[in-house]
Amino acid sequence: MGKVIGIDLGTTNSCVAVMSGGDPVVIANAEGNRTTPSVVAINEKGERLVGQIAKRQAITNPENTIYSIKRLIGRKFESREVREATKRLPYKVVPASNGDAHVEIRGKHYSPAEVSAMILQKMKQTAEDYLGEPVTEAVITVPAYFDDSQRQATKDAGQIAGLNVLRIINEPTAASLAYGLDKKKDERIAVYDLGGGTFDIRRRRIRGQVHQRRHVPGRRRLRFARHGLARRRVQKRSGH
Amino acid sequence: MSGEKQSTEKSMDSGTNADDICVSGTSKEGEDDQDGQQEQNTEDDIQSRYLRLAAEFENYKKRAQKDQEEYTKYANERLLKELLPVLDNLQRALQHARSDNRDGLLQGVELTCKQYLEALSRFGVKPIPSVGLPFDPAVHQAVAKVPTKKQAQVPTKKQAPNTIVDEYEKGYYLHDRVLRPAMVTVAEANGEETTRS
Repeated sequence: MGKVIGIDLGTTNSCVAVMSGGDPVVIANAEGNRTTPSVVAINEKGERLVGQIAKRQAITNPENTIYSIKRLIGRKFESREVREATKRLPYKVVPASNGDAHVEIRGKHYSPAEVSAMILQKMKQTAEDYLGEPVTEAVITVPAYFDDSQRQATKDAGQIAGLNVLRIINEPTAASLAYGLDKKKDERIAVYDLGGGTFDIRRRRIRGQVHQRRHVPGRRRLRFARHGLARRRVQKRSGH
Repeated sequence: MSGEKQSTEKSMDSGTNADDICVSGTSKEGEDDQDGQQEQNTEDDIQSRYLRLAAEFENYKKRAQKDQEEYTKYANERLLKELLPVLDNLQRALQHARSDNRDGLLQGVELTCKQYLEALSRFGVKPIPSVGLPFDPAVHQAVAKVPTKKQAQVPTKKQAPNTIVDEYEKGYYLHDRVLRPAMVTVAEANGEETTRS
């Protein structure tokens, strides 16, 4: 039986980890980085570029470089979030026949799940290179505020990437688990998630082994913040 | 039961391997016990072997982590030793610059720069070529783009579409990986300008 990988499919960056000797280990990609930009591009030769390489050419090829696809996944073209996002995104967002928001790259339409799948495929490859064996099963995290259609689309993305998605886990839950909070008893904790373009905070209560969601809507304070800008600002302030 | 556990722990401390302990454990208790007890014994053996293995693995993990920390802490030693002479020479250059006799200052700094690059190259660092080459996002980071001169107003400039016309910051390889991409200006690909407002 192969190993199951855990993927943090982020708005700005993605990360893959595997359990090794009872501890989660983050796997570095081929370029030696522990996170991979969630960016996909198709260059003029029709080659598909994913990750750092896609990000580096973004300025030369803005219409065909897709970033922040997570903001569109599982959403309707007519939704407020998508309409607002479209104003700021240099690539074309188009309505699909079922009303979903899709993107157009070099004249071809892709669903956000398909674009996310390209990122997941890269993460899968990273894990396979590290483990030296094929990987077919994964757990993927999503923001706690994701609704059913966003979760389903994320699952679809996994499927397209050739991964059997065993579970979709809420990001704050995954964070709590990684810090061993499932071993604590009765406690209230707050999970802050300061991402590249989003910021979520979530209160939760732990009772025994069960994680209870305490507060439902996650706030995306830095919603539609530009690529990493907000994080850089915060890092500056905190002196990192 | 507890006696056996103690004895196995003791022998582990003294460095005996798992098989040895297993044998000594069964022979000791198997002498005066019946068959049913023997089954119990093997079960206990397996249990204790599992526990020891788990403990050993935990220790191994901790040791490996400690080794790793030590290693990363001192891994730069060799590199830093090679870089110190560069610093020495820079300080000499400064001292020299403060004195009246400034002949050879430029030459000195040039030599120091060369020495620096040589030191880096001994550790697998080498510059990434850029200007005039086709843009390659694997090693170049585009920070700006300029329209391609279609009418060939400036024929001397190499401004073929999608090639690098300028470099802000040099990039470097570390062995087969990109240590830092070169920050470059790229000539726009053909036909892009008309579609954009």
